[in-house]
Amino acid sequence: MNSGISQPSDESIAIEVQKGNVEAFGLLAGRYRPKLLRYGSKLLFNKSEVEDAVQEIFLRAYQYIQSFDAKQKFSPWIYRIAHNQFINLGKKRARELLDFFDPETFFPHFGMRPAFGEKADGQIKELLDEFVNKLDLKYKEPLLLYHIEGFAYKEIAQILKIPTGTVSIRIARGLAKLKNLCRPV
Amino acid sequence: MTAEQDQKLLQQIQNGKAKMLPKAFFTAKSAATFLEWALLGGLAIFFVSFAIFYIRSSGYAMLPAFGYWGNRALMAYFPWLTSGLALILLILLAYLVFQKNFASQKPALYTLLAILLIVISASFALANTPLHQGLQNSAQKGRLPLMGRMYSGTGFVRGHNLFIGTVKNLRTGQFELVQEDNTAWNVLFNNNTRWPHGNIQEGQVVAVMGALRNDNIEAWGINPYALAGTGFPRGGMRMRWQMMGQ
Repeated sequence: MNSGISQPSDESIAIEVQKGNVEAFGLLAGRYRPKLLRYGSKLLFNKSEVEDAVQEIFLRAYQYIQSFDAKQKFSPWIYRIAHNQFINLGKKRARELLDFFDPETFFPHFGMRPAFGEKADGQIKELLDEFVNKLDLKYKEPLLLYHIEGFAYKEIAQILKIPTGTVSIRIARGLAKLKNLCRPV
Repeated sequence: MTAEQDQKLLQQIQNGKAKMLPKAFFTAKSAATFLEWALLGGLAIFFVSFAIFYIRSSGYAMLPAFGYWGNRALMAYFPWLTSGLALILLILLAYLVFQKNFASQKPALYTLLAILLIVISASFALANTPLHQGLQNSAQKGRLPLMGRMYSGTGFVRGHNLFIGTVKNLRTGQFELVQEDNTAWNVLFNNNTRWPHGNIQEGQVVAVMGALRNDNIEAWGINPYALAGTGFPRGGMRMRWQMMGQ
């Protein structure tokens, strides 16, 4: 019935919020809450901690909404806030500071492509569900953002503040590690 | 559950738990970030240009032309402290710039190299202005209370195995070297003295590298001196190769 009616984009809703329409922010929260809960549950163990963190993410997003550039996509912007919030809760901020000096960030080797043999995306999702907590955060996050949240490399680079080449490398290496984890002993 | 949470969120906002920050706040924040970069970059440029000025004005820029011992001496006299400070500032600046979206999506090395290029170019430009010379003059007159010590080692060197001055009374195996402050030294040279530019003439300004013994300088090498401020001696590498071939 609604097929002919186009939904307003996240960006146009964000502009409304910037103009002072608080109710419009509820629409954005409704769209992103399930996604952020899913993303947070892969990074944090405690369910109530994830719910509180997501609520905090929305409050922060509202506070900082005027810094959002409506020419850009809204999803990487709110995921950047979510990433910061989850990382802070996981007390892994210090590690992120060192990202600048990580060889993969400092000078990523271009041309590496994610390869996982014959495995299809659906199988990767299953494997991620099963083994995600055994992966190092630096590989876990790009894999989740790419295979579960469906972001493009460039958007992941925006969210994690790392070069696009580094995203490619981490996804490839993360998949290789995942492959090793699921190999029968 | 989700709808309840969304309602709760809107209530929290309406109750003032989160206040939307005005656009002016982010504009001011961007301006503050830019000022922070300018301050760090400016300090780095100042320190690097000071190192360039120090090497030029002391005559140490001539040292590589004296080959292995010249390079060793340059390493010993190099202004490592100011250069180290500049390097720390550069890395800090590169890290801060890398936090911005336009930089973070490219390898961090590119950010570091771009900043290095800008800082080094600006430092050479600043070293060619009379700024450091003026500060050095003020320091010598005691009018530079905090930075005065920094400039105390600048200017023509005395001792340290490197002597710069004008050639007078040129004779076989020796000549008199008159320095800027009219101190005169007797320079002794022989077949072992490195002499990359052939004969020298009276009245010529030269740099002599050698050991001071009994008021005589036993010269290891003699080179025409490129005047302070004109840059590093041209053909330094070529001179070294020539000397190695001798």
